[in-house]
Amino acid sequence: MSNILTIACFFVLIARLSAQDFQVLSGQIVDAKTQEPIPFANIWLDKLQKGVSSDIEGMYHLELVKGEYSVQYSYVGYATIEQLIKIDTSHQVLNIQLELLSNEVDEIVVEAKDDLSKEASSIGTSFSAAEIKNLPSLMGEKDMLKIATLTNGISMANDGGTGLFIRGGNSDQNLVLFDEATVYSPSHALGFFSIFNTDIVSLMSFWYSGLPSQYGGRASAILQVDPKRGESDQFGFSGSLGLITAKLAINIPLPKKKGALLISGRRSYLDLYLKMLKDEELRNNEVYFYDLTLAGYYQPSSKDVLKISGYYGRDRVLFFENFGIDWGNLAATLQWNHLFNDQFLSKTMLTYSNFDYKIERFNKSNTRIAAGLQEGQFKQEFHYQIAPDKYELKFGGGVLFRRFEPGKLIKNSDTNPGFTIAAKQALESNVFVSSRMQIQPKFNLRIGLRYNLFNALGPTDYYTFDEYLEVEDTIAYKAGKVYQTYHGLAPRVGLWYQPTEEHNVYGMYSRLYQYVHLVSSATVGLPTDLWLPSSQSVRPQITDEWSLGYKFMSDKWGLELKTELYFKLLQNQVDYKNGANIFLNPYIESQLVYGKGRVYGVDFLLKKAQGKFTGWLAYTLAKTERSFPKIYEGKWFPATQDRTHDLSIVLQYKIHPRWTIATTWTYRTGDAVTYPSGSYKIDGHRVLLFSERNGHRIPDYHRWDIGLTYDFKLKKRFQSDFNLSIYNVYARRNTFMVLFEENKNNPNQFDAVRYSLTTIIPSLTWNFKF
Amino acid sequence: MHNIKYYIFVIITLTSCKDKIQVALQNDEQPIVIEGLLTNEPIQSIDIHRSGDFYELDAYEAINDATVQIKDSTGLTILLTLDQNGHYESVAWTAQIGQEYNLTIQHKEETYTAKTILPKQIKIKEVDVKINNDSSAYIRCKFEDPIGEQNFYRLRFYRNGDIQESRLYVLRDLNFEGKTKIYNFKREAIAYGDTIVVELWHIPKHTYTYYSQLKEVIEQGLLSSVPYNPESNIKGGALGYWGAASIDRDTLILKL
Repeated sequence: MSNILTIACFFVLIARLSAQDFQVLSGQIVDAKTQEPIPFANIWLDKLQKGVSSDIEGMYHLELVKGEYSVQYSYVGYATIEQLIKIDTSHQVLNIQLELLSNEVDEIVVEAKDDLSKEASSIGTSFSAAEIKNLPSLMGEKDMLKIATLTNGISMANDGGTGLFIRGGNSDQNLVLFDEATVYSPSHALGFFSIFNTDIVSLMSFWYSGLPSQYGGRASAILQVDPKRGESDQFGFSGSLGLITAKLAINIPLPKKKGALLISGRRSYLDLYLKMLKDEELRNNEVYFYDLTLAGYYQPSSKDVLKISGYYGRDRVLFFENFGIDWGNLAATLQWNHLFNDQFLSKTMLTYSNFDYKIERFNKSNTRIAAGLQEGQFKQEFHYQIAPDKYELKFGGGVLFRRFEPGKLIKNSDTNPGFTIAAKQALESNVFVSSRMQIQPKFNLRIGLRYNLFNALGPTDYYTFDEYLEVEDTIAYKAGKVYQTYHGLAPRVGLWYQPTEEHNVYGMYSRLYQYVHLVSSATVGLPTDLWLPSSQSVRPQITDEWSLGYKFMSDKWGLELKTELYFKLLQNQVDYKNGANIFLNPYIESQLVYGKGRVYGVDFLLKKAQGKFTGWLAYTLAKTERSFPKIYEGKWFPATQDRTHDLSIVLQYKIHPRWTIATTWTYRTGDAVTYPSGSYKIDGHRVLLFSERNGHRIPDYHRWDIGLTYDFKLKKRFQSDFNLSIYNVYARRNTFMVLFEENKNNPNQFDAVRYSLTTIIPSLTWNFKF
Repeated sequence: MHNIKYYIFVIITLTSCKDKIQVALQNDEQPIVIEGLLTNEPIQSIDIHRSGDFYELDAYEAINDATVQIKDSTGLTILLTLDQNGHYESVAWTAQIGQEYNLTIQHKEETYTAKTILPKQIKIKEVDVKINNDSSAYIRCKFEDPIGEQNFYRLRFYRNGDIQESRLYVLRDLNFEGKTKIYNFKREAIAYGDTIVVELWHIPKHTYTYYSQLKEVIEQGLLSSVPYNPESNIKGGALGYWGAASIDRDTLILKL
């Protein structure tokens, strides 16, 4: 702890020395209508040929010598504001409201707001809903998560999975946040749709290198979804009707324009189509999902903002009355921001998350299976702009409590009441300090330190295993008893060198710890996922990640070129031993094996963000490997999500003020899988022989989508557009999986059978707002 | 649990299209497969063959030139002789309960060894048949699980002499430790006059592990864990197993 304090004092000292003879210009940039802060907005001083970006709260700071300046405030999709400012002897505050460009004059570009734009203020990739408006959709669902996978570093499970693989990380190594609350299973309908209804998303941000110190707890990346919080000026409705889902949102302004609330709902209606079928058996199947979101803010004073948000969504599948599964997420955040003065901001957050699933009518019986996970969290952060634009300090901490319910089997029978696997509890606490500073006019440094403490808490039954992984002993821990502790220090460092406005060279290092582990039995994003806390045998996952990047931005040509080299080392990775039985197994820890991983790769991005013709090309060349002493003697093998090549091309052209055509093409190396190398006979059965892990590849994945959008003329307040999308234009049968099945005509022969889930899917969607 | 996987599998297969593809599979030096089960019955047998090509038909190379021995801890050695097609048999001889038996197989330059212990016999208390409303039937096998020890079982059912086994029925006493267990074996078709034979195998843990892995590998589907070879207890690089089973048998003739 004393180290942290020393470092903090050191930072303060440097800052004090460097802040002289300058006056400060600061303020917040917000959306004129919603009053939502606009992060990453550009503030440009023509006279000095210098600019900064606003931070995640929309705040910006500049230090200027006395004089008159023309300052340009701009953000993609918003009208640029130019303001003449006289800097004299005092600190000036200038809050800016940017107006959203209407569709009539719109030049909305599709742009991944990027990493370290002009300053070292932001890292990662982010999307706003406006940016993806015209891109093609799947069955009318414009899925931001899927669109995100068209950029560098972010890859996705096959058709039928929303597992996100960020720079070789597993999907459970991503921290998915709705506002500030964790979401454990971010997919609907066996992975076809993400749970985030694009209509309620204000901004979706990804961080996969140089992670900010205020976040931790996962070993790969952070995905944060910022909800729209409504508009404070008037009531409004918006919605859409697609082939498979309908959405409706209501905007409620609070009295005196002090806040707003946006309530939104979405439901899929595949089951309504089923009802139209004649076949009685098919008709009674249930397949649907729905979600409800609520997000709002209230500003009691100019110095305080209260924010709330909540997500609740569920999926249900009932199949031939034989098998029903029901699962869902809940994520809620309550946040209070208080501005002590222009330099000092406090953020206080309470979050709650829940994930659970139930399996019913198991084989038409009354047997039910249920499992879940709850999480509650308190977080406090302070942001201190010590020397605006030159020196910023963030510090804070948090406590997170999780309760894991690994599963219970409920039987409605007297002879067998079923059983419950003991719940587990864990506490995760952290403190962090992070600082961003200009150490030289052309050098920016970001340095942070995060300390994590993990405690596994009773009550629980804890099993210890002998060398044969047999239960040796069972220890019953009382409530509140700490039975396992881990802790670790996670440094995060980034250095940026910007010789001119156009060029930027940077390097970053981060360490990440993860104390929750996902054990999932399937290759599919099934909701039967099982989360486990760290314990004596399941050690925390640790990632060390290095990256080196170069970025070229030309405003003149409206072009951006970026390349990044990265390397990651992962410790204490979890896999299953052969033949692991993880379902409803109280001795789950005896079924796991532990090993290490490594990831290395290089990213390229070429992007044109201005003009009638926009788009980007993203390419990643990478290798992701794992090694487990108990799997083929520790030989390195490619991880399932290892994607040697990953290429995406996104193009958008505005043919006419009302017509926009957009197209995307994506290509990637097929998943690494284990195929047999022979066969033999045992116990009267023909059995497949395997000689290595993930030594084969499923066929490569590629797909072309087209979208055409027509924006109707704005009539009073009524705004609408029509989107025609064709998913998978050339009907590529991308492989979902390959199974080796007995030939029906010749039971002594096996065939390799490819399953593919989607073919060409056209769709029509009508979006409206009034 | 395979039922869940099964239903999810059905959902996926119904919503997907499938076609046959050609997958290039490597074909290295294929290992030997040894299948041996020591029982409480008079004749012991071992089967040895070489594993074959993936696309190959049912024509595995039988290993007929191996030396096969079973030795107990007292030094008694039983030599098994080739009967036919890689099938080796002992003379009439009864293995002792609780005794450890070592298997040694010599083939060309290679030696394969494994050991197992014959568990005690667990008697079937009762076999009966319950006819359901939908004319399917449950054949029920009742037995007592011994108190204070881990026990592993395999069950086999025969109808008129034919094995009724679409999958392997293996279980451990996790949920019925020291209690009476009734195992329900569901049959869709059964008729009066049928002769039903039920076998209860009491097996050691390593045999259970092998069978349950084998069961998973056979039922597989890619929805289970990553494909693998069932874990063999044979040292020397062979596939297969050297297991043990004390078998109890009960016969029931369905009468009106």
